Amino acid sequence: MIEINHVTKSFSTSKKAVDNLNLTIPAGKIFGFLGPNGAGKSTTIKMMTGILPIDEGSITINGFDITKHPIEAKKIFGYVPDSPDLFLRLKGIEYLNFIGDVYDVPSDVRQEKIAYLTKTFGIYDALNDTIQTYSHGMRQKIIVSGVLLHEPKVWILDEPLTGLDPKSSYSLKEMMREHAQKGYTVFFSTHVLEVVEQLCDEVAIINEGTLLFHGTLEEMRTKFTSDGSLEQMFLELTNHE
Amino acid sequence: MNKTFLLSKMILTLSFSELFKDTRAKRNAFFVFLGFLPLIVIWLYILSSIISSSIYILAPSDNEPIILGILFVLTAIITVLFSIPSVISSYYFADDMENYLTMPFHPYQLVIGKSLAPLLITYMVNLAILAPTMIFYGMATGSGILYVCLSIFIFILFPIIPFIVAALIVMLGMRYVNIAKNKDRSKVYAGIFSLVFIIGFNIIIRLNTNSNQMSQEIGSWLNQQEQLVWQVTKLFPSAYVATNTLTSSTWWMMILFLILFIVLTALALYLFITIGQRMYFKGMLGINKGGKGKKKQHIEKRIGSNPTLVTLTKKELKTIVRTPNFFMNCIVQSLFLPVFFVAMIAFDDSIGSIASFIQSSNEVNVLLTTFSITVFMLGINLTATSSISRDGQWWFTNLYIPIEPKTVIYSKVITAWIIEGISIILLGGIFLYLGVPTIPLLMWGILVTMVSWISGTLGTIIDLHYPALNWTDEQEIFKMRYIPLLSFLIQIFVFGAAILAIWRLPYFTGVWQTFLAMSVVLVIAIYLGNHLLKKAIQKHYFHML
Ligand SMILES: Nc1ncnc2c1ncn2[C@@H]1O[C@H](COP(=O)(O)OP(=O)(O)O)[C@@H](O)[C@H]1O
Ligand SMILES: [Mg+2]
Repeated sequence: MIEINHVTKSFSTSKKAVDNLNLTIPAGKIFGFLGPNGAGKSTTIKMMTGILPIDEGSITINGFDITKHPIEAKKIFGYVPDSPDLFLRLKGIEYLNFIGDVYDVPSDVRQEKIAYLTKTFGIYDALNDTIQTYSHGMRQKIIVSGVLLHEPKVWILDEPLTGLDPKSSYSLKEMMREHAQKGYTVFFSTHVLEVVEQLCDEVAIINEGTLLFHGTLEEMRTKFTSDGSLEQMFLELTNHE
Repeated sequence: MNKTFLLSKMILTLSFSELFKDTRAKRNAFFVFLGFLPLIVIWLYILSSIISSSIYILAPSDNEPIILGILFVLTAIITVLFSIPSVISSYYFADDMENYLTMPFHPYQLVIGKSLAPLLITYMVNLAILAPTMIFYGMATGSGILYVCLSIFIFILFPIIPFIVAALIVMLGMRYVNIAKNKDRSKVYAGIFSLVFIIGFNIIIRLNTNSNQMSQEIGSWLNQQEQLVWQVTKLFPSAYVATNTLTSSTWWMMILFLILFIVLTALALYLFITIGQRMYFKGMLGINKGGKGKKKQHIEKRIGSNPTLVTLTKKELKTIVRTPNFFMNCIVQSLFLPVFFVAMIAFDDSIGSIASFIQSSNEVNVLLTTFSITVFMLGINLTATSSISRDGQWWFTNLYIPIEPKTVIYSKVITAWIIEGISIILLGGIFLYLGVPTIPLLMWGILVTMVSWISGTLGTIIDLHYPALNWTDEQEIFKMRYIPLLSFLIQIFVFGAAILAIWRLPYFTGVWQTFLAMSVVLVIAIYLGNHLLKKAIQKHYFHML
């Protein structure tokens, strides 16, 4: 479970990137964080993961405050950043081994899972190449494999489906579902309404740093038809892609 | 501890992997090393003669340990000064930090991991100063096996404490820079701060020493100042203990001092880890990302058209000014030498002697001297040797825009030339102030303008041959590459040979003849450079990615 309490963040004096955000993300569900480009999704996620300091408010992950108990909190979640251009000079296999070491994955588990995951994603044959040579989608996949390797209880993914081909996109969605069924937390952001409709149990909509809506898919649909400003938003989100 | 090791290994792998990527890179690194060999030999020769002649003077009064004491103090100071900039960039400006922030690492683990690369550089510096000093001293005083073992220990341990001092200064300082909350601007402030710190330190040292006396026999000076030197050494406890470890009269005293030294180092490490744990993230998180909003500008006003070459040059210049790492390495560092020069002469009583030297020597010598200083200064400028590499993975945009490769490349040469021009103007002002007469000064101006064009061309050619486009952090373009060294060596050897020839050959006695001869040489060099540049463009431009 993730709790976001009255969180505010601004990069400039005039405008708040995230404004007094309150959100509880329950375990056992897939939670979608929907909003157009520049809405404040990545900023929120970076505060959740300890990359950005929080101006006001607090965030806890399974009860651990990310600011006060960073190590405990960080052991619990796995994070897929919006741009997968990390560790470019490592080979795929070196990266996965590094993650295995950092999160104490036993080597027999590692053997088995690396093969399974990378074969599922179709990057097994590229493991001996440097990540530099990977395409955008392959980079995304190696990072997702790293997260899956240490089986964190909480997944935090920033626009994970952008740039994936249909097959990989399908497998990732399946994995997210499985994870939620095990009673774990899955939190991901997207700017595409269809993704939310296919995948989510619960959804929160954010625009210009403010939370516009939080509820189930059903509730979202009724709200869209009744609320004029949300309908505008709806159009914006469907026009993408 | 295990995790710390893991992280350190990863950071080291990532920061050194570019250096020896393939056999070609290895071979080139080897040739650069060969080029430096003569310089190394000269340095070792000077050092050994200073040490042996000092020992000769000091031995009768049993004062020779002073030599080690003073070199330990110097090494400590140099280590602190050298470490500050590299620590700042490794701790706070490497963009890879974001990758590690979401992983469950303690701040102290990150601090240790991030320290290893700059610490390794420190050992390189010590390899040039500390190691030969201890060896020459040992040979001159006929020391035994114990001395050898102890000096190995000292060599390994000695850099740690000064490095920690530098790291602590940086971490404490960063807490306050962090107020700015703007990553880009803080980088520039921090970089300028470290330069100011180095120059300020230099001034303080100079104010307290009398250089006239210093330049007399070093040995006899030391002999007179024995008390003072020992006091200075005691201000640096690690230098004091290290000296005693190597020069105590009995073996058990030596061992005792070594143990003391180990204890000191352990204490420093403990302090470092504790403070790192508490302070590192404070500076880090504040500095991570930023950019206070700017007020809205009139976009329409900023739309206009320019010839492509001008546009491209402007783009290059803007990129350099706005990217902190580029700004620091290309502009601030090129201003460093002239400013350093000013600081050295302004706070010294030698200004009178420089002026009288200029008046007494003939114009040819003045021209050649000012010229040599400038060649050296331009040689260490990093703008040209990063021309291509600065584009990084965005290089491909040059390939699909409808602009002649020549135009793109020349915009880069012009950029280097303009930036080098800034330091030339500054240096010209200094020469004017020092009383260099008008005619040689004008000649100097014309000649070095050509030199700076050649240096821009040469740097760009070399960077075209060995570009580093696959960086993930801008710092990699400047650190851990031998390309700037290569360019520096070529320029020093070529221009050095030309200067030497003109100076020694009997035909060039008047300043006009000298000027003409050098102009001819430079015009030929410019022609050759342009020819080579065009060839390099043909060969490499479309084959780099
Ligand atoms: N490092 C930064 N500096 C300044 N402004 C930023 C920074 N990061 C994000 N912003 C601003 O914050 C707002 C939200 O951005 P972001 O969270 O990245 O949006 P998205 O919902 O597309 O992920 C945008 O207006 C963006 O311009
Ligand atoms: Mg985003």
